Amino acid sequence: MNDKLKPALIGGLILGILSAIPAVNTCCCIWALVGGLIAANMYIKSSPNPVTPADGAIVGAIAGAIGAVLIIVVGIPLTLIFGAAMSSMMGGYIQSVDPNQAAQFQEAMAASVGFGRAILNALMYSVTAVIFSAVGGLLGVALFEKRKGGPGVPPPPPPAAGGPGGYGTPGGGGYGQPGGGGGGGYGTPGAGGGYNPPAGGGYGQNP
Amino acid sequence: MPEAISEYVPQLAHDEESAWRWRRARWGWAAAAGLAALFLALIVGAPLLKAGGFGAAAEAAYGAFALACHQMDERSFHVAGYKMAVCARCLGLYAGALAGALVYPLARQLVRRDLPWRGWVIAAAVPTSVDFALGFSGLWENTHASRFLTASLLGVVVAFYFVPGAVDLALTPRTILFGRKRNFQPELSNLLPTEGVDGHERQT
Repeated sequence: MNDKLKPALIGGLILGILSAIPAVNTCCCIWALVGGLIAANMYIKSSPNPVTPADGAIVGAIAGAIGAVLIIVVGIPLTLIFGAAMSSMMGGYIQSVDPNQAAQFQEAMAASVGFGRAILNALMYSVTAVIFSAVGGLLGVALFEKRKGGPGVPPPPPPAAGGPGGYGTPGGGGYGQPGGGGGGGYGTPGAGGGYNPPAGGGYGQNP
Repeated sequence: MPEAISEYVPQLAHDEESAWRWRRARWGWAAAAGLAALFLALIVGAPLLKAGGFGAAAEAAYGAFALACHQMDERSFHVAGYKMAVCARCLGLYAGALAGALVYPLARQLVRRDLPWRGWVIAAAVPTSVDFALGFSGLWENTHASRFLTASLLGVVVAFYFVPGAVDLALTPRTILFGRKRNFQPELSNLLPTEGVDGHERQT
């Protein structure tokens, strides 16, 4: 858990702050996805092993939970104090781009400024943010994890029976395969069974 | 002489571990599809609740998406005279995600835990990004249909990422999920036998 906490904290901080700022937060759930993406990216960079989709989702979900706390603690006061000013500022900008949409935008913003509404919105969005952020973490794994491996990748094909032996392969006596006579075991140069056979040599053993 | 029916060995029977994997994978898929369906039900249900006089429940449903979408009346589809809980573009994302999750088992094995190639999600994001950019810059007046359709394409593709993620979550033991980092490299000390073949303690 600890190795996931630092990336999740940074992802959650970004998610929480951007989602808490009035008018900036109306970007079609993008900040929750971005928070999850950043958390997953940082986790992938810090992980020595390939990161799985489940790991990405968990890091993203933790980032979402941290962001949700920030939205409640920071977002509600910010909405109450600066909500009206921010919405008029953004409304002015939209007015210059598309006057038809400016009135709609200001109307939508005004509806979310009240105290009860701000609390309800923040609490309900907290749940949504965790889910979106988990999806962001998943997409982060898809986008940033370039290493091969993990449970999703099928194992390599086994070598021919009686060959030099393989690592965990049924033919040729891999490790953990009792009675795999013919080839050597895991790194076993000599002939004989695999690792831990009832008889006939083991790892580095000459039978 | 033919064998008795009691001797019959099913040719397609999974072993116990395989059956467990399939069962968990189905749970993971059902959870992902169920979540997408729940979101869509909230979105479509909000105006229906409002029209039915359930104001508080409708406000809660609208509130769930208030910080995720601008919820502008002019840019939203309407049901029963009220706007949906999200705009047409966001509705496309959620509807596409549900459709993608539902068709996923037909297109890909449920037990697969690897994610598709990353290029697909980038390519799928292009149409809706272009639609948004053209509309925002005023070069082209986008419509409900263009917003919905371009976003639903992205939603369908995103489903092919979150379903394997849900399956991987369902298949990964909790001790690994919330424990230390996974180590796919086998520890050499674990591979070495504790005893030699002749019963003597192994010298390490």
